[in-house]
Amino acid sequence: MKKKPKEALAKGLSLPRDVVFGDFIITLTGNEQVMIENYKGILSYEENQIAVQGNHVVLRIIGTNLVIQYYSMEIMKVTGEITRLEYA
Amino acid sequence: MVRLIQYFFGSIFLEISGPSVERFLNLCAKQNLVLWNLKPGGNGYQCSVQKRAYETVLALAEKTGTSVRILGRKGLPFFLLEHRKRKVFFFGIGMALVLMFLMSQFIWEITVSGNERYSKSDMLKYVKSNFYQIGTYKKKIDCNLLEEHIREDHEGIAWVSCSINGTRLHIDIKESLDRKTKQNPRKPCDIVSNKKGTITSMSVKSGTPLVQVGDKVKRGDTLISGMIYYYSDDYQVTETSKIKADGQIILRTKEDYKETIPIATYEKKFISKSTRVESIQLLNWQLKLPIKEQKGDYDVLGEKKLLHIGDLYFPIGITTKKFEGYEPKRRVLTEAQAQDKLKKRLSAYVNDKKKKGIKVIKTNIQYERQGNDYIAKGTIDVEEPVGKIRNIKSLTKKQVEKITPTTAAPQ
Repeated sequence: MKKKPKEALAKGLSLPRDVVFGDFIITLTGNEQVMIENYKGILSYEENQIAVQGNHVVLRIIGTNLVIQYYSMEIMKVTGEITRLEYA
Repeated sequence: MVRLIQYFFGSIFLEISGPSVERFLNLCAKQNLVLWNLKPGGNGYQCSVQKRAYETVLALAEKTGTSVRILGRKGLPFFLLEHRKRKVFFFGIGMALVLMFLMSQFIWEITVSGNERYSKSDMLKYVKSNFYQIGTYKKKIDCNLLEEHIREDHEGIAWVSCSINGTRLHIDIKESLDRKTKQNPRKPCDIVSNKKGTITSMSVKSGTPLVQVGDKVKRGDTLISGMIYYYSDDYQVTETSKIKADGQIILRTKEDYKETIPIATYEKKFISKSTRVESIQLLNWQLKLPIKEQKGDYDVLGEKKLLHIGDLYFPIGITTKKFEGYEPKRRVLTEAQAQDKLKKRLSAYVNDKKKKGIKVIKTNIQYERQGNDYIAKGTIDVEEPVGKIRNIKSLTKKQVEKITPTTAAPQ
């Protein structure tokens, strides 16, 4: 199978994937706090579900009492009772 | 910290509603506006933004067709705006600041450190009665002059530094010179001996040495002079100048040692403890509080506590008294116990010397009983760094001759 050039770049030069592909960096602390970096924007926001648009993929944070503590271009912090993280 | 900043700049609590709120949020992020505490509620979302970002938020809301409603305002700018008519309140804050500034122009505390032979209270008494009282204006204090006087009036002080930190005058004393402290004199100086003994080693860093290894020196002899001489080719003095003398001189000295302990001693057996506030101090006034008399024998420890923020001491404080009640208990020592005790004291004494950088070469101690006392008596040979800073004294003729280079050529 022929590898995609970006894939080869990431593997060959062992560059971090978040730089090459613009993948999410998700830091999950327990089930109460999650920090998300490298996103494009928010798609939808309800009390028990937040959808975040990434480079190729949408991340859904599912839980209860979800609050966006802060939200800027680089990083957002969500607190609440998180039950699932889903890619769609 | 973040909260403090948010409070300082002020924040507005908003409700955003409308069809394309997500687009509005993403635009906000693009404009580098930070939204915090974003949560769904009311008709749409609720969040907080900085006060100064509010106008941009309004512009973005208009662009995306969302409606923004202010739910609340928080922070210092709004607080000031709300209370702008309360003149007395602001006057109070201003007065407090002015008062604090004025108070910080005076000395409210004098501390001493590094003292061993001279007690803290003696030093404080000396400074307070001869020089500066508590409450002296800071600019009036001449640290250099104080240093000089302390050095001159106290025999055992080799080095002293006075400094003003905040509202505190700090006096740092060294009673023996070691490598660390010697580099600090501000003016040219000599190094003189403060002990009597034989020199066992010396290394001169700067200055003119006037003694050699093996020389016997008396107290007050100049060891290294800060005067330096320049010579021409035929050994005539062309020029002299003054520098800071520096170097390490080790002297071998003999010390007398005598320690006496009585056969029967009374020891204190502590039975109770209590602390009472004795008085409240404000500036130079003291308000004495009534203290209940204690029964029996007791030790009293007084302590003064001044209110301070770091080095900024305020003339407000309390003094406490700690009462420690005790019963006297008689104890008779056997000869072995007494000797043991004396030996322990000797080794503590030797250790103490070691800590100061003094090498104990030989101890020659005899133990004996004399009447109702046990006595340890003898001499201790020590090698110790000596030296004391003194203002430069010009050399005597004899000393000048000694340091003049000689030539092998016939005269």
